[in-house]
Amino acid sequence: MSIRRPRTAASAASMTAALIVPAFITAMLVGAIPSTSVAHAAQPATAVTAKNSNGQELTSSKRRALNPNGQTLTIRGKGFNPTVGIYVALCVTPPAGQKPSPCGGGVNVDGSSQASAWISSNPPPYARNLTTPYRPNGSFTTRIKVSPMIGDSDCRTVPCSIVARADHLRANDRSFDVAVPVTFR
Amino acid sequence: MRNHAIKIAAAAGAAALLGTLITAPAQAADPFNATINGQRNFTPLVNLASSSNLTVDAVNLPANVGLYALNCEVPANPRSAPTNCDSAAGSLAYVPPTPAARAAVPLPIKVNAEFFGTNPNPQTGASTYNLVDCRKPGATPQATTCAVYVLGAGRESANPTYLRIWPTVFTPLAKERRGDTMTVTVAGNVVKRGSTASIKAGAPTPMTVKLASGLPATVSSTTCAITDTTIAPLGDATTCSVIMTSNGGKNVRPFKRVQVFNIAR
Repeated sequence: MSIRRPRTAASAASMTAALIVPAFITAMLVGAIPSTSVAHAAQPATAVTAKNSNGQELTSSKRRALNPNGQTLTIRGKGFNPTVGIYVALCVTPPAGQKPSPCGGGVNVDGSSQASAWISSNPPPYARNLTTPYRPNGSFTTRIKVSPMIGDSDCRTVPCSIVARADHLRANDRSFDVAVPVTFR
Repeated sequence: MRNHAIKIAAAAGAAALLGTLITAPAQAADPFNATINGQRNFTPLVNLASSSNLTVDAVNLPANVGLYALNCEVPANPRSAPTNCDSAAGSLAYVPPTPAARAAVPLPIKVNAEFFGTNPNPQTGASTYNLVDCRKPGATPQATTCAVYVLGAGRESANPTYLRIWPTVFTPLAKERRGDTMTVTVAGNVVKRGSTASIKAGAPTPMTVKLASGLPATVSSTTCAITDTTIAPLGDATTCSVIMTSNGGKNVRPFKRVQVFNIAR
């Protein structure tokens, strides 16, 4: 490779002029809380499950008084479509039907103890070491570590939820959204 | 071509030196920046071989920000997002966000002159796998057909702070290239091209995909789970369509095969 100051710099400059790239690669969670989500008590003493109108369930091992210094949660999902990947993360709870934002992001390579998880059995080739596959029936179990701060948003003062939604390959598909409201100490 | 290789090696060496120099802890106020083989934003990458291994060096990446680096066809409106990109393994680099800021992050990528492009954000899950030839002239004399893009992941994807673009110019082909052939083996049996094979629901079935050229094949599917050695149906689908591609090289043309599997239950 060599360097040149070529004619293409003109087009490059024209690209610079806008530098407004739509959110076309959204690897982290920027989705919507479904208005149909309903949280209710689940079997374990502190666990809570939410279910959407499509029958998909999301269970958090704990809902209230999460540790503000960092809380690891076990998240279980059930009834999802194994052909559609989802993200699981802590988000500021938006008004019903709107996209949640901001969300905590960060899928680490070994998939352990970060602020979000990517559940997919058919990820793009570049992401095969980043995702947790579904079990054959569309269920999954993952762990995420959350803290009350999502950027400048403090989940101790604004409502937040553990959210599941379709991954960036179906970013506009709201039919997989499920949310479990959570609170911090 | 040897000369080009030497130039690339020299550039890579320069990038490696740069990498050494920037490993010192970053000051909080230091702004994010990215170079590719030492080249600044918007510097065209010229005389690229058919398949070039380059490294994007990102510095001062803030906490909770991830990055992508990938080669795409420049859209007709260069201000819009590219929708035909090379997302083959090794050709798209993704650095996930981490809770701590990072002083230096290398993103090695293979930049190909030709690729079967997919939309990195298809919205509906569908991809077309159109062949993109980056050697073709751009829409205007000033434009290149392809460019390497770096941009933030997730909620930072629209943040121009992390956007970097390097137009790519590849060396012309010196000779006619040969075609490639692919051998697909499922459960020990070779699957003839054009035929429909069967796989069982439930446990994964052994599958290998090999090209006569020895080039790597990219295998993907939306209705089957694919690993390097297996295939397994997902959900309740009765068929599974698998896209198998190769970006080719200086001696071999790109290759694409769509293999359909019936799912026995």
